[in-house]
Amino acid sequence: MKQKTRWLFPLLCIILIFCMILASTIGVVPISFSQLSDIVKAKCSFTSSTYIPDFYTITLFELRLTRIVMSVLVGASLAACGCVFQSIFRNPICDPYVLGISSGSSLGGALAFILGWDACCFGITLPALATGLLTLFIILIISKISERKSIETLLLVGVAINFLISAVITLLMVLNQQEMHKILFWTMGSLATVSWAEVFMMAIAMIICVFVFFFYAKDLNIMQMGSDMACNLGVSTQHVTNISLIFSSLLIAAAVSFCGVIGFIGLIIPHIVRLTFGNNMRTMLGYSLLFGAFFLLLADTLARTLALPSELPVGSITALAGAPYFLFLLLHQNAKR
Amino acid sequence: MIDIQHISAAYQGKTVLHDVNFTVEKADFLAIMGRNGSGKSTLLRTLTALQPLTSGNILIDKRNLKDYNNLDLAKKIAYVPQRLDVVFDFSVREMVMMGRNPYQNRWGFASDKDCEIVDNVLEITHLTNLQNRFLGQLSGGELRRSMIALAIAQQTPIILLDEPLANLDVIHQFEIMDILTELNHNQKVTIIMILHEFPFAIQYAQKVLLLKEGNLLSYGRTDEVLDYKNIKDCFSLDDNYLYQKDGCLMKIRNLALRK
Repeated sequence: MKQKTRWLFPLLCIILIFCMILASTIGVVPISFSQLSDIVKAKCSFTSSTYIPDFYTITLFELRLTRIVMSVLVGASLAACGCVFQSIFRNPICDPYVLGISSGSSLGGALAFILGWDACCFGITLPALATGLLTLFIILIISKISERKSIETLLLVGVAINFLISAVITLLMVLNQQEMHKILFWTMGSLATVSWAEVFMMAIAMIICVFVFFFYAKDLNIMQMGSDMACNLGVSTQHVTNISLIFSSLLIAAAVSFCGVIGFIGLIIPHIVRLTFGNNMRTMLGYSLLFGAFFLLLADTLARTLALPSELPVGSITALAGAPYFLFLLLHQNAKR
Repeated sequence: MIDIQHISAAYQGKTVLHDVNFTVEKADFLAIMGRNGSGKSTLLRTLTALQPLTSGNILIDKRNLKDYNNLDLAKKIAYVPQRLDVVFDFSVREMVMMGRNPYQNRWGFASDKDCEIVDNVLEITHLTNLQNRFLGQLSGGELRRSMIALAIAQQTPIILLDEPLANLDVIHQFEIMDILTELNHNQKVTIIMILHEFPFAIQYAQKVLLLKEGNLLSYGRTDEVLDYKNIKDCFSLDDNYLYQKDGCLMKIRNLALRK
């Protein structure tokens, strides 16, 4: 496995970059590779033999590349958070949304739509980020004051808060029917309206959080064996749990606030990586980042090209594409054993 | 080496250890015995700091257990729990390598020395052929040996084991006791284990500690502690079990002593 992974990872990175270039040529306005090359040359102030209309440049740089880069960042982030959550809760069906952080962010987004802040710069993003983090804070406080201070309690508190906030969002939508469509479409996940500023913020959040995950990867790896075992091997389980939860929640809140709730990636990608490469946290994190990026890039490309000129919600594509493949992998793995 | 000073501990609000006081010397082989629910596992967990004390102190090498940080303690005491709830499958080698965690840096890459130690541990626990097998594919005995291998890889002067022989056939029980005895004799590792099997306690343990309802009933050399009165008292056995049913228990004891 080690020999295999050494060359596989860089190779997949190169393939991902190639896929991003390929995805940038597909869409309502097709861009050929030669046009793409000319646009890039022109943008970088190199000499270009042919005239490129601004329309192509804007389509490529302002509309297409932003969402391609964002899909890679968000896909990678959600998959990495899924890895971390599954390790902390020792539960292979845990996903980054289980604690209700995404619902918290959705609530902020819904409120912003109702208050008419969606027209402002970061009008949705900031309230969504704030409520997502506030939700995490409430969950941590409630589980801290509960009598049973266990990781299961934290999970149960998260699930309860998740249901509570989902109910509040539903009520808000029913009471504000004129905004219902906007809120519903946003909560289903979309990368259509992201800007370079948002991409930049997401990239910073991802770099910081992924660094923290890798920093604690050894501890998270051991925590998969149970908290008693981890404590006995010198891991400060409480510290690692808190730090990992805070940073993964920050990343989830950022992803949800920029793109809405895109489900399934945080569950399926870590699982696929586990089945393929084993449970070592460092390997899992690396490949989950890559596979998450691949998966959302593919899903978003399909979402914006399958029903031209309209667009499908990317969340439904991730579920439609992921669930059958996930089932196939599970059955295949069982048959092998 | 381990000084347990009048400790008490509670589990879910109920006191399960009352004023337990004893000392374990370096390279002792101690068997903790008693009825189910007598506080044996709680006592063992207090020594790993997994179970907080309600009163008393535990000194390890004259230093209070509370003053150890997690990593320092992991270099002093290894703990083998009764069960390992495997949710995510690791290979035997990966799991044993986790025992090297206290000695690795934050980024935790295994050094040549770590690999050498793990190879050696796998060999003495007869797991070399199984090192690439996943934990979910192991038998009960193999899994127990893997857990012990992890503890040995931790290279601690003290190893605590919670019922390491439970649910194993007699060959695997002997195998595990022989591995532990070798560690105790050759590397002077202090072994503290919870045992229910009298023959093994008599044959292998230098000392026995009897717990009854959270109280220390008797502690000392095996042949002194495991006498008729203590066994009868500790396990609340009446003469029907000790004598009239062919004196089964005492026969086992005598058989084991005869060797």
